[in-house]
Amino acid sequence: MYRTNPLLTHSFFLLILFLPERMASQCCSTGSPVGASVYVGVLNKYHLRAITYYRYNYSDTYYQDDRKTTEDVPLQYSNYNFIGIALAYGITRRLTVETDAGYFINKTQVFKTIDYTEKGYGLATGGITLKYGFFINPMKQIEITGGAGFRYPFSLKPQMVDGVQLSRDVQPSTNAFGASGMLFLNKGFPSITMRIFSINRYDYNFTDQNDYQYGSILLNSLFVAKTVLKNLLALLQLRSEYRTPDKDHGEKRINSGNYLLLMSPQLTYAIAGKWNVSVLVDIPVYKNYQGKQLTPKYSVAVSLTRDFSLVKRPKNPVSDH
Amino acid sequence: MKKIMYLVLILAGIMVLSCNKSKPSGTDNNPAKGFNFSALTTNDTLMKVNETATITAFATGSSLTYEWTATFGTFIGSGPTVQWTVCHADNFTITCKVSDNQSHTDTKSIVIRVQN
Repeated sequence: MYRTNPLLTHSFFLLILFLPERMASQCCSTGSPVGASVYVGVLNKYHLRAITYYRYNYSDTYYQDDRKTTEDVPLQYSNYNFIGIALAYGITRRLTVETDAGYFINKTQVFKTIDYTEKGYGLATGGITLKYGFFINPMKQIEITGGAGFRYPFSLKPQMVDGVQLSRDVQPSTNAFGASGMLFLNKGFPSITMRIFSINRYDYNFTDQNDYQYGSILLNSLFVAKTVLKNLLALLQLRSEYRTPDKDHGEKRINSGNYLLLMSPQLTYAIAGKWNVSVLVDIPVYKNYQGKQLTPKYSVAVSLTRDFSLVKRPKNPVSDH
Repeated sequence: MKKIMYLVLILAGIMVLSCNKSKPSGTDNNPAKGFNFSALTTNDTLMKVNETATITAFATGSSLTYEWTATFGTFIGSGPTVQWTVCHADNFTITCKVSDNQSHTDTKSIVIRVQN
């Protein structure tokens, strides 16, 4: 059976926090951000992984192309608090199914030009993904896994508060279905307790009931993970995010679409060999935004993960395979 | 013959009653007595980006509720008068749906042009 450093394996849990559904900014505030997904390689057969997480994001800087701008900007800042849960289950040794859902405690934007704070909240878009391990070599710690799935809104209608429709920028959901594909590549180096892996994901959003379509997103991440202390793993991620412009009734929206490059250091600590606690911070290192958009300044996140084996164990095991 | 005539009369009576019953007591295009959404107005149909427009729905009826929607922009306030602002230039349609407690509804829209 495939034996690896459990901490290295568990480090993948945190990846969910890096994979945004709509990380790109709107002209007024950051868009819906988090697409939760376990988003790593396949799990062992009959294993269940549960993850809960919290994320905070803050944005206060407008960009026009790759330059900061303060000219005619409407917002002082925006932020959100998000909690999510993701479950993954190993159906076979190669096939894993996962599902995720999340809730915005708040999506807030504070205006600069007028004395007003707009706040949205509610369920984000959920997702279901099937992943298949095309190539798994436990001895060499190599894995190539591909996946496909869809995203679904819990409501097709935009959120209303006190009879007023909230702006698109603080809506908790896309209110539209979506499809996604992913490719996960991994190579471990057990002799030096190190692992390098890459996650590549493409998200496509369908149009909503108002014929508005959020742009597609291509994410490419490269990770380096290293055990630094007993039970403590350090990871460094370099992530590129490219988002195509949104379309309103088939017309490209001016203040949408971007390229973003982020650096994300993170730490994962294993507790009693069962629980894993992870913390991370997202720091943008390069931004290029079409039109004029509010851009993310930083994000912090915490996650708690646990794996459960649902395999029935024999009372008197003879061997361990 | 008489039986047929009676039958025809009864059927005709049922049809007349049915027609009366199917008359709408209040729909989008047939405002009921007391309910009337007369106008949707704004102080400015041409404005600049990040400015605010004041939009008012003039309606009468009992226990009115107002629903404001727009493809873009932010509403400030609620009820018959709201303010609205948007951060990019375009033509925007603002829609207000007014309802009363008798399930009467009416919807009106206005277009606001926003320039840089």
